[in-house]
Amino acid sequence: MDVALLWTLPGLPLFGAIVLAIAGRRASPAFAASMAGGTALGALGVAIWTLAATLRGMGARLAVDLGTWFAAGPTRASAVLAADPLTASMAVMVAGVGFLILLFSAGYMDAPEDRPGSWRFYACMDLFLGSMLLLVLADDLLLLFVGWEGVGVCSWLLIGYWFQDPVHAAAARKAFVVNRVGDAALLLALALLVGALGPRATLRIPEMQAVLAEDPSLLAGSATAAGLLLLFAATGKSAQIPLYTWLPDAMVGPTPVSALIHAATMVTAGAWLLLRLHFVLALSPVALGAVAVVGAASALWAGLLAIFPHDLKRVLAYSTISQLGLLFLGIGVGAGTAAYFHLLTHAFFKALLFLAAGSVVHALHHQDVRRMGGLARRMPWTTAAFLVGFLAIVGFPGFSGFFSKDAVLFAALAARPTDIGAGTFPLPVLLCMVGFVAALLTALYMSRILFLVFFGRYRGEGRPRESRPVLVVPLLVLSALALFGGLLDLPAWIGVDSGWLTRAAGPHLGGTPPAHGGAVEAALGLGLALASLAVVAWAGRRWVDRQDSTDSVGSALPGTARFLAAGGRVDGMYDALVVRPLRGLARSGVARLEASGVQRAGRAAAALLEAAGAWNGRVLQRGPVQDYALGIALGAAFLLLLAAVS
Amino acid sequence: MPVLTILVGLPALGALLVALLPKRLARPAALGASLATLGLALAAWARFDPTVPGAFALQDGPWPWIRDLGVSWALGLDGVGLVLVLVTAVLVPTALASDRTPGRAPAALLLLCESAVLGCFTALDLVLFYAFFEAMLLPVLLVLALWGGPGRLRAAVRVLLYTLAGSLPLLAAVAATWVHHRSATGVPSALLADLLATPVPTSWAPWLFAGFALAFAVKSAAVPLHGWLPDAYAEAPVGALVVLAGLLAKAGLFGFLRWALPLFPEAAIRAGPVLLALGALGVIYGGLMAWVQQDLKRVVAWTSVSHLALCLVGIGAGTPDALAGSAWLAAVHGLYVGALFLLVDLLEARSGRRGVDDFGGLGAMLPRFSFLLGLTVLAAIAVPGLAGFPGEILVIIGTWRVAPVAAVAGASGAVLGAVYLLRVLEKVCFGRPSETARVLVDLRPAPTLPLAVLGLLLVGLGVRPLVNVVTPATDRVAAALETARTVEAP
Repeated sequence: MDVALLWTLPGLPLFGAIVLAIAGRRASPAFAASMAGGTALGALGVAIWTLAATLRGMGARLAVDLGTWFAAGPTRASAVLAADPLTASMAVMVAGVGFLILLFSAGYMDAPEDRPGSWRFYACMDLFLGSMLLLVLADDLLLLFVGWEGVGVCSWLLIGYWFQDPVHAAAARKAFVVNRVGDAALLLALALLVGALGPRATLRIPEMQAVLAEDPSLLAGSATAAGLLLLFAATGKSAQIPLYTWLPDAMVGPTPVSALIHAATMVTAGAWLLLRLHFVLALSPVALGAVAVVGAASALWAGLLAIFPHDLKRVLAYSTISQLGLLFLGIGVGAGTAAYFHLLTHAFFKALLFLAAGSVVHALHHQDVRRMGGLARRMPWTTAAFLVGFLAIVGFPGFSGFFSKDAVLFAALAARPTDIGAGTFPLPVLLCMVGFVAALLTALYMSRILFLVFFGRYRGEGRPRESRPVLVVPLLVLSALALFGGLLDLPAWIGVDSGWLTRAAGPHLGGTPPAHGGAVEAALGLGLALASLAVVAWAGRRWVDRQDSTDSVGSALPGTARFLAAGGRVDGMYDALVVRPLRGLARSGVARLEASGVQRAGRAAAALLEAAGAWNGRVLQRGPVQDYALGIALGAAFLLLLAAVS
Repeated sequence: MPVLTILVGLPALGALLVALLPKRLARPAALGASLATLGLALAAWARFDPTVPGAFALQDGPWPWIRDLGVSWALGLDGVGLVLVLVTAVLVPTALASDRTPGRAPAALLLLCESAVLGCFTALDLVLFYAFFEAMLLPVLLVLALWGGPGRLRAAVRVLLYTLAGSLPLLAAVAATWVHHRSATGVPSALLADLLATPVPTSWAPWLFAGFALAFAVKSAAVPLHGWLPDAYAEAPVGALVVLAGLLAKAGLFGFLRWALPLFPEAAIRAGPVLLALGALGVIYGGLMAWVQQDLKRVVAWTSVSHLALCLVGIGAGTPDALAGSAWLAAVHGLYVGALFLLVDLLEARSGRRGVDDFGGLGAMLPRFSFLLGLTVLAAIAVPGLAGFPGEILVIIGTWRVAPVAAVAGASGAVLGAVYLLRVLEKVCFGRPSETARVLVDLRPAPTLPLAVLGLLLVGLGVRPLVNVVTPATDRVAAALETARTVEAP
């Protein structure tokens, strides 16, 4: 096969989206689902082939260059896709998880009112997959930005899929606007990089790495600024503090969307950006430290917020923020491989959890955990799948999350304070502890929903039944991935020859190869697992038999519980600090200036003009006209003055 | 064959034809003339070879016109002119096809205006340029004053006064430039090439630059000289509106690139911070204003102010990428702003309303309309893959090196753009249908065709932007500025 086939990776899903957009309502739901599923399957095949090709000579690089997209001055956007083991494995994950979720969607989106418009759903999902694969494989940062904004647009379209509900429409807009804030930071980061590299400016990732490796002083003064801008950009897509607020609201979208976009793939885009540009971050310990701190803080904060919601999917959304926080922590302490490992395992078990939740939502037609319970007997397959996802995310030994979480936390423990700009302050240890607590919180909030949804007595109405095979089969495949995903990168202390991911993708992630901590790493992992089990046991006693209230964890601290249950009132804070002042500036500042500034100045000067008697025309004596004339004269004088002074 | 002369003359001939033909043939004739012009513009593009050395790949003349004054009929096309000519040739037929003003006069006037606009984008003689620059406004102004909305007179007078305030200094500066050339060489001429050969002394170049810049800033609605724009855009009938917003406002930006920057590079560099500041101010000011408007046309009008200001930022920065981005954005801005106005006008024509809150749920009621509106909005907020993106990103990256603060303002404009345009989309297309929305029916093929063409262009030019067409021209301007900067430095 030819290398040019790489273009079919984003190309196939894009083609499917175009076909579906043209067919519109003429496309039957079955055709739309097969088109999207088929193109995703095709992309998966190509991705696997690509991965195999890059692995044949460990670290081989395949690139397809379609020339310049556009260029002016030092800024050049090149249409180049490239695959190495890192990008190819990510592409396999994206296409694979995407295909499974599209399969699930075929069963999920079968409500009579959704059927006529289902082409729109599948077109957007296909467009999303294409954009995500473009983002993953782009070798040029402007091409990456195409995918970056593309996934944002698709996310907006899909959160607002049921757009007739104003709540959905508002959630979609919020997601887009918050993401746009991050996107603006990314644009500025690119501008900074082009400016700093001067005559050697390039937006091609490998070339930029080569230029900076040769002469790191090019970025001497601005490495921290660049790193912080990239971090800010990443917090938008990856829903980290401070730009995470869109993700919980995004859960109003269809569950397959939440699984694909808001759990497994799009939210990893921010982390992906930082992983790809690790060589920029590496030039600034302060920026690395900021990434680690933001990650740890997000992990802890979102873990706290996840304990309270009654909405099943909202808990999973906060959980995503928390897990991605751990991932950022890994990136910040220079453990790119561990972070990427966690990215992959998280994609498996979080997609699984979301789809299992989707199976429940599909059976019950609501997302409120207060009206669930006892589903284990009624939906055994779904329960089994959720349980696997639960064990994986909690980090039960042997499950995928156990290995990846342990790798991140150990890397944080092993990092040197000076490497993350902390001087002699033992910041790494502190961050590791924060991560440890966040992991315990994971056990707490996941146990809460596990017991409330699947155990005890059923508190809802009707008789929920197990979902159809088309929903269950993707769950089983993802269960296998969540269970065995850890094999990708077994730690050295296991004693088996392993570390496959470290060898394959590690060289493309920079940083020092992770030190293998042997006993310390094993103790950290097993200790965390034991502590988590204790939490689970406590939570089981707390929640299995509780049939009404779910807030009992906060009964000791009602004030704090209310605060956290309200999402920490962060939305209100942003509204008060950013949105309202800006709108106030627009309404009563700019708009009033516009409405009255010219007029008032006009009245004052009208008398002058009349006294001078220079303007006698009947038209010109009408008030507004004189105001305009004055406005013009003032504007003109202003410009002339500025021009003369400068 | 003098392609450019025919190109400039054809719409005017069409206008004459429209005036003479019986009423029922007038509309088809006008459309035909504008389509023929489009064909000719495409032919000019086909013959355009950017690799030809020298500034202008296609050139007519110079042929002496007013011998005593040394004024010639000289037309030429460089890359920047070419993309603007193409946008003009595309927009005028769509405007004519969508216009609903009665009678043949508006159509004839719009064609006359097209001639002047094309002349303005191709003139290589300063006096000729001035004539076109002034002439292009009058037909639109007449359409506005005679067939506009209830506030048309007020709006028209405002446009006239603002324009005059810019025109008089421009006239003085043009005359002074001409006088300087004659006294320096003894031969009267206003040809661009001749004027470039006799640089104006630095002592009064700033004043001449200010004269040019003032007129161009008024035309491109730079805050605080934008006062003519919102009312005019709100009152103009849609044909005139598309021409006004899509084309005339560009003439100011074009004037900077073709005349003001090359003729007075030192002065332009010294005025750079002022242009950057005005542009940055305009991006934010226009964005905030667009956010709080209740009238859909005014939202689009302020969108236009904000985006034109971004172009001005790029011109103030003067780096190769910023200038190219500016020129590209100026061109495609015509397409998406034109499309937005056409879409709003369709709603107004069907429902008699155009308030942001008057609709809702059109996504379900009018899926085709909503699709086109969504696509245009995404292009307007510079989503990559659509036409607006290359211009915006080039301006921001190119400006950062000179003035990071202005680049930050430009990037903030991108965020604001999402805020105010998605607000429109959400209110108009999402949610539950309002009473007004319920009675609307979706687009039929006739009004869809021009919009579909614009939509296809927005996608096509996003995937395959013609930035490489404009760069030879903008690079020359950037090089002139760079030379002036290095001369000044020691």
